[in-house]
Amino acid sequence: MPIVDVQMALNAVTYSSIVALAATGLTTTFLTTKVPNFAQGSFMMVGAYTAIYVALKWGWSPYAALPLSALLGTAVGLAVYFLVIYPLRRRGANIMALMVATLAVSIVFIGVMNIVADVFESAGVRSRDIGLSFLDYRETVGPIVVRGVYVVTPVFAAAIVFALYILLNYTKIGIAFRATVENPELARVMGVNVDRVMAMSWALSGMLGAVSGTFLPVFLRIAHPNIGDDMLPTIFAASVVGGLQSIYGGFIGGYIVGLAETIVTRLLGEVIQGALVYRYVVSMAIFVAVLVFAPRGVIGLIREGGRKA
Amino acid sequence: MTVPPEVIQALADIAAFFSMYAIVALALNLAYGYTGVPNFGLHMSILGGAAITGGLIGRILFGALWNDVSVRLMELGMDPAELDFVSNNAVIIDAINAVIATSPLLGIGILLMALLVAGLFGALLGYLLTLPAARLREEYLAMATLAIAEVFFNVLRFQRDIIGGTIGIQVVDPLAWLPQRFAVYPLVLLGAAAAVFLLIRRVVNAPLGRVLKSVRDDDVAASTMGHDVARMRELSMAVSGFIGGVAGALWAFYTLGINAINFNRVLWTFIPWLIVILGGTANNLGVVIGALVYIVIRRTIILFKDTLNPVLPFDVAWVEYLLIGSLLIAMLIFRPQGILPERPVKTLDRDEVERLREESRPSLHLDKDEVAAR
Repeated sequence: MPIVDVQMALNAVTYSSIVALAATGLTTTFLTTKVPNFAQGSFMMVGAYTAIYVALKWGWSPYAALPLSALLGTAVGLAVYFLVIYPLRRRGANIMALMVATLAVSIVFIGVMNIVADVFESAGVRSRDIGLSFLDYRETVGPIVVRGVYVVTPVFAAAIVFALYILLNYTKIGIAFRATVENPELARVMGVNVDRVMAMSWALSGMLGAVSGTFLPVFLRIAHPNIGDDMLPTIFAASVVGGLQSIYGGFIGGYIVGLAETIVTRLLGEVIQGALVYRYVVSMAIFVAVLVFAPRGVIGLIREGGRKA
Repeated sequence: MTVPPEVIQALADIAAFFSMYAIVALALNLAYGYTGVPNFGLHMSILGGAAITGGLIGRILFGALWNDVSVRLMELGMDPAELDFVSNNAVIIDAINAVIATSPLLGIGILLMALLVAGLFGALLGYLLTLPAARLREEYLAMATLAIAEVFFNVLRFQRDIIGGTIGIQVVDPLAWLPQRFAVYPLVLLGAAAAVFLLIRRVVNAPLGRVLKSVRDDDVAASTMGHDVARMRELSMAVSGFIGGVAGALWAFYTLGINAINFNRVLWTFIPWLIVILGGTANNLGVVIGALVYIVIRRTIILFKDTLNPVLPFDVAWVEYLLIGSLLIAMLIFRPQGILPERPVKTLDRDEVERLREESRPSLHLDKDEVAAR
């Protein structure tokens, strides 16, 4: 049996797509607000629990939860912006204060999501240590089990990136977004409503987080209220490895880190006994190496390389 | 009048939690509040200290007390040479504790030794976190420290041979000779918190403290004035890590069993951050008050648990996260300086300064003795 088989590759790509979506959300807010959002994992949990509720209470396919999670995620993103980020920025808070504020938001969400899970449980919806993979479409092709999530997630991620590309290049708000990222003061002078662009970035970030979170319980066999928070270091790693200077950085980094966590760990497992449990160690090691040696990430390397040539 | 044991238990628990969070938040305050290093890897030093206590001190004692311990194990019908420290942890620790129970001096020696070694290891880990500091801006450094700490955390969490991985291991009890240790040990913790408070107050009110603040406020200006900015950050993080390591060891001796999962980033990095911001960055008393506020919120919720839980459709314990998080956001917006704001640098009284100046002024006139000598 080869070390990397098809089944594993399918799993790896799906996991990477989930990370890529969440990391793109993180990058979006970092570009406008310049703050690493510690609550990005919380946005994922909003999506995950929407999927669980829709699938187990209403008996729909978990994928049918996508529009609702996108909506809820957008609402949560906007709420975080208007209740936390906007008042702080207006009072001239520095980056550290904003960062600690997002940290506080994630702590609030630990409480909220656990309460949500408890309330779901008492309403007869199993929501602790439950996965939705049993509700997924599955087809057995020879030795490989093909699940719906293997197809839907990467396709969805690709579609999102394409939509982002269109949004950023061919719409007015997209161009305003890029102008705000490039130089907020100049954008303001040119008549861009910077506050509105920031609100949009937080809405987008909430939506992307919630959508990626929707796939999480379908992909995993077990979900719990802290599952999004557990992924936070991975999301940070993906955004930084890809490069926080570009909105596509999170996407690229998501695949690099996601594949590293799955495939590199598996390869290490062949050499070192019991290395399989160290998936987070692998991604964090890559993260630290990138931070120390190339803090601008892969996109930064590509751009700098282009400039020199 | 006798106090019911559950009251003592609750008081002991409050005292222990309060002292731990005060110590840890004071350590973070030194690194972030005074020196401006955004340390999101604090839980690494704490876990490191606990791991030293459980993994290293336990193994050393198993070897050092081999004769006494093996006698006790053989009495139980076991071959001590066959036993593995992690797999047969409970019996080994029980045997070691039985030996410590016969000798208070040995116990206190173990306690002090463990605190020292754990502190030194914590300092090393704290120093490690500053290595990328020279190259990174605040927000990147925050993520880097978090990532480094997560590597350490995940290794200890899954590597069974160090501190038992996901199962955890037991910790020797240096106070096994004391029958009321569960009431006494929290007092030791309170004493440790007071000691840390005094130590840090001494450091930050010394000239060194002013240098640390200058590094925080403007590192370019500080280096222009001849201060080695990188060295100051390393020093501050090492001292902070030392305290973190000691805190980890103290906590391990309180719980008497450690599992890496209980030293996660939420409990030992994020909550201390909230306490520091809540109490007031760069104000030690404020940070202690912040820890007190956190404990009060926590205990109040636990107090209402029995009455509210049957009525509510969820566990009241989660409200703690909700409250402390919202409180912090409100503080950041309406009172960003914290409960107690930072004070101006403490200087000597004017009289004192003038007396010192007078004493150190070189004399223009020769003393009588010196005249005679000529």
